Amino acid sequence: MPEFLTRQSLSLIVFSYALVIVLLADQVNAVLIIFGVLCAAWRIALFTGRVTALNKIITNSISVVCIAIIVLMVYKLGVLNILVHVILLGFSLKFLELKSVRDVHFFVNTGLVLVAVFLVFNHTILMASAATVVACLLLMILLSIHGAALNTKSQLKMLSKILVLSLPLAIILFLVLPRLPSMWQMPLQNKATTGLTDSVSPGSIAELSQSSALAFRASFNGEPPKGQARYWRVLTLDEFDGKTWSQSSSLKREERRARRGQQIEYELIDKQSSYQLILEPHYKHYVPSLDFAYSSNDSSLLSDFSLRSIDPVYKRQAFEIEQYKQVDGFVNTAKSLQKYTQLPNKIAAIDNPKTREWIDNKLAAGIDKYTILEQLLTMFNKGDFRYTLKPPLLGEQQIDDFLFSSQAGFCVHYASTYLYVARVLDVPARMVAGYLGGEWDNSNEFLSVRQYDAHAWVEIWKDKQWVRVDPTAYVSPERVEQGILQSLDDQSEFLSGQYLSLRHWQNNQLFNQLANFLDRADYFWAVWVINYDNQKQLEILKRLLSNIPWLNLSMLILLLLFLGATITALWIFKPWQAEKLSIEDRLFNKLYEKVTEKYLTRSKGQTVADYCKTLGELKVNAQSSLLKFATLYNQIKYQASLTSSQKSLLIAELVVLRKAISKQCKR
Amino acid sequence: MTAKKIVNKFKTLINQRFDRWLIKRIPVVESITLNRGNSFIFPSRFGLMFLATCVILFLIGTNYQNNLILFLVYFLLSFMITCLLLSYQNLSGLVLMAINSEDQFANESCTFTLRLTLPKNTKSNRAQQTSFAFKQASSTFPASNAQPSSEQQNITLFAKSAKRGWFKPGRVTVQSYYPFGLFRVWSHIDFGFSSLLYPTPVENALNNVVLSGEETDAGNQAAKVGFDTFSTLKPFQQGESLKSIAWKQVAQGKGTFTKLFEEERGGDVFLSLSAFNGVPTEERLSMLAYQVLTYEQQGISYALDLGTRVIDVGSGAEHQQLCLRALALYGDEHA
Repeated sequence: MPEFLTRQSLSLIVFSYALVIVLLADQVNAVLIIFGVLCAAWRIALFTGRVTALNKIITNSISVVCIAIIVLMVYKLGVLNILVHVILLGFSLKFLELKSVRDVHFFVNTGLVLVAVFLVFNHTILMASAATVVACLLLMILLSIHGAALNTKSQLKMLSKILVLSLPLAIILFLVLPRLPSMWQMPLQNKATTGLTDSVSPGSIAELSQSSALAFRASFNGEPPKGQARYWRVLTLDEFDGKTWSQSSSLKREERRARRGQQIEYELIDKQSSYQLILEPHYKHYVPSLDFAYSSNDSSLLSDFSLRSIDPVYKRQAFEIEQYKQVDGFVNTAKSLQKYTQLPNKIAAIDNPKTREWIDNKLAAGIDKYTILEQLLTMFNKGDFRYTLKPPLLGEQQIDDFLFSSQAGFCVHYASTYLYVARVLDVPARMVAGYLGGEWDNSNEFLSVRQYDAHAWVEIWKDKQWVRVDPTAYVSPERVEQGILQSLDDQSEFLSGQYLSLRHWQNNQLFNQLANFLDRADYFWAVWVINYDNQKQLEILKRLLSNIPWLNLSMLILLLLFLGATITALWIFKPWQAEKLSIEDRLFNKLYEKVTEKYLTRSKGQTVADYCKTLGELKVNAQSSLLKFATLYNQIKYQASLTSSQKSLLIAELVVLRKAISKQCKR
Repeated sequence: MTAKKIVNKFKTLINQRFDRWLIKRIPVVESITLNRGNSFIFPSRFGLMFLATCVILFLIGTNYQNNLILFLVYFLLSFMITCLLLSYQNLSGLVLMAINSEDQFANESCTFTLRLTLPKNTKSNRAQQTSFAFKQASSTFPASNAQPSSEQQNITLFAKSAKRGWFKPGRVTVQSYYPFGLFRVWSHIDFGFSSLLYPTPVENALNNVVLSGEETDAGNQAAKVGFDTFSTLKPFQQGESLKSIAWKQVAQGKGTFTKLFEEERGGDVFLSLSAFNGVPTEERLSMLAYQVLTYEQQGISYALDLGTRVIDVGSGAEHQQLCLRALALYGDEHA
C-alpha cells in the first residue's frame, strides 16, 4: 500500500488525536487510552516502514474484540459512557485503517463529534478554548490533505483567514437563530458529584473547606442581602447516628417526588426581591437558595423550603429565583415533628452520658429548655471553644468529646452538638446544610460562592415556625460576617494543600487581581454564552429593533443572516480590486456587443484596429468612421504623451463616432 | 437482474440528457475562462458527511441545551459557506486553452495539451489541487495536476484508443476539492480535441516486392534486414517503434534513446495491402504501419498501395506521415 499521508498530515492527525484523548481523559477508561496510543504508534510505525499493513480480517477482528472488551468494561456506567467509549474506540481504530483520504474524512468527522461530547461536560472558557484548538487542528488536517501544495505557512494563513471569515456569520447565527427545546431525554453521565451530599459529617465539610471550586454565582436585582443574611439553604438533615447527619426516608421520598415535579403546596407571601443563580455543574438536583425561595424554571419546592431542579445540574445552569419574606399555610403536625426529635438508638451505646448529665442537672435546677439552649450558645461564646478547620479527632461519644474535652471544631461540630442537646430536650430540630456568605467581585456585580463556603446550621421548631440558629456564629462571628478566611485563627489552614489555586494566594495583590479578572470573565461567559437563551436573544433583538421602527423581527433575522453572508463573500472576492476596463475599451465592447458582432465576430487575438479594418471592408458605408475609430482608440490607449484634457476630448469624439458607426452599420 | 438493467438504462438516459444539456451550456471552445457560467459546485461526499455531522452535533447541542455545541455547529456551517466561496474562487478566472495535438498511434497513450493561465493580479494561490482528465477516459490514466505556482503552464492529458482514425477524447473534466475537500468544483469543457491515430504497428516479416530489383546494386539487401549494424543513439521521439528503444540505456537512467541502425541503401520497396492473404484488414494495416516505420528507419524508399489509394515511392518524414495517415484513414469516406 503506498503511503498517501504526508508527514505533516500524519503528525497533525496524531497530535489532534492526542489532544482529544487528553480532553476526554477523565471520562474514559485507561485501557481505552492505552489501546488508542498503541494504535497511533502502530500507524506511525507503518508510516516509517517498520511494520506492514494489516489485512482486513485482522483489522475487523481486532475491532470486534476491542468493542466487546470496552463495552464489557463500561456497560455499568450508563448509556452516555458507553457511547463515548464506542465513539472514541472507533476514532482510535481508524488508525489501523487509515488508508485513503476518505478514512481521514471519517477521522475528522468523528473528532468533531468527540469535541461536542467534550463540550457536554465542560463549559469554562479554558475548556472551550481547548475544544476550539482541537477543532481547528481537525480542520487543519483537511487542509494539509486538500491543500498539500501549500507550504505550512500559507496553510496556517489560509486556515486563520477562513476561520476569521467564518466568524461573523457564525456569531450572527448564534445570536439570532432561535433555540429549540430539547427533543428527547439525553443520557446523562454518572459522574462523581461535587459539593454537598445528602449526609453531613465533620469530615465531609472539612473536605469541602479545602476546595476553592466555585459552587455558584448570584446576581441580585435590587438590594443584595447583607453578609449575615446570606444563608444559602441546600438541604435539611433530620437523622443522626451519633456521627453523621443524614436524611430520613420520608425526606428522601419527598426529594424523589420533587424530581418528578410534584411540589409541596404552601403559600409564599410578601415578595422581597429576586436574583439569578448560575450553578456550576454538580450532577445533583440541589439548588441553593435564600429563604424563602420560589423559582418557576424547571424546579420544585420541598417542605423544608429548599429548592430542587427537576433535571440534575450537569452543566452551568441559570435559575431565576424570587425571594419572599414569609410562608403561609404551612403546618407541621405533631406526628411529622416526631422525626425531628430522633436520636441514635440506645442500643448503639452512643448516648453521650456527660452531655445528658449536663442537661439533666440543668433541668433539675428547673431551667426552661429554651434557656438551656441559650446557655449552651453562651458557653460556645464565652468558653474556651475555638474555631478551626483542623480539629483533633473525636472518639466514639462525639458530642461528649467535643463539648467537654477538645472544644475545637467548625460548623458541623457546633451545629451537631446544639442539635443533640435540643433533641435531648425534646425540641424539634434539624440540621441545614448549605453555604454561608460569598465573595463580591471587584465591581460588586455578582457574588461568588465557593465550596469552602459550605456551612451547616440548625433550625428549631419554636412558636409554630422554624427558627434559624447558627451555633458557629457564637464561636466565630467573623465566619458569618466576613467569611471563612477571616474566621480562622491560623490562616495557613485555609486551602492548605492547594498551592496551585489562585485563591490560596489571596493575600498577594497581583494574584488577587488576576483571580478577580478571571472570575469576571468567567461570569460573563456563563451569563452571556453558556446561558444565552431565547429570552436574552429577544432582548438583544428588541433593543436593535427599537432603533429601527420599520423592521420586524423575522425581517431583522433574515437581514442579519444576509449581512453575514455578504460580508464573507465580499471579503473573499474583493470586487473593488477587480481589474477595471478603460473607457475606450468599454466603448469598443459596447459597440462590438451591441452592433457589430452580428456582422463580424472578432477572432481570438485580433486587435481592435485590425477588426475595424476588416469590418470596414465588409460595411463600406461605415468604413471611414471605423478607421477613424481605430486611430482614435489606439491614440487614447497607447499615446502616453496625452494630457488629461486632450484625452477627454478624444474620448468625447470616440463616443460620437461609436453612435455614428452603429447607425451606419444598421443601414 | 432486470432491476439492475432498468437502473442502468435510467442512468444512461440521464447521462445522455446531461450531455445534451452540457453541449448547450458549454459548447465547443478553443479557449475558456472559468466562471460562474461554466463551472459547477456541489458538496463532495465528504461535504455531505460533514453536514450530517453538523446535524448530529445540532441534535446533541439542542438536547443538552448546550450553547457551546450549538455555536460549534453554527461555526462549522459558516465555515462550510466560506469554503464554498473559496473553492469557487480557486478555479474562477483560470484561462484554459487547447493546443493542437499531433498524430499518434492507436493503442498507445495519446497526449493532449492544455495551456493553463492563472488570472492576473491574484495574490492568493489559484488552481490548487486542480486535476485535469478526460471525462470518458479509462481509469488507468491518473489525472494531471496543475502547478499552482507558475502563472502559465502546459498540462498534458492522457487518453487511449484502440481504433485508428480520428480520435476525439471528448470533454475534459477540470476539478478541485481545494481547500478543505468539502466541495467539488468542476467543469466539463469540450475543447474539440482530436488527433489522428495511426494503426498500431504489428511486427511482421519484411518480405515485400522489391521494385526494380535488378537496377539497384544491392537488390536483395532488403531481405537481409535482420543483420543491421548498430551505429548510434538518438533521443526517442513520440511515434518511433518501441522495439528500437535502447532499453539498456533506459535502465541505466540515462534517458530514452532510439537505436539507429545503418543500412546500406537497398532497392525501393512496394508495400501493398493485398500482399497479406487471409489476414483481417485491420491487422494488415497494422503490419503495413510497421513496415512503413521500419523502412523509413532503414532509409529504404517505399511506395504504398491501398487499393483505393496509391502513394508513390518516396522517403522522409513527410512521406512517412502521408503513408501513415493514409493507413489511418483507410476506409474512411472523408479521407
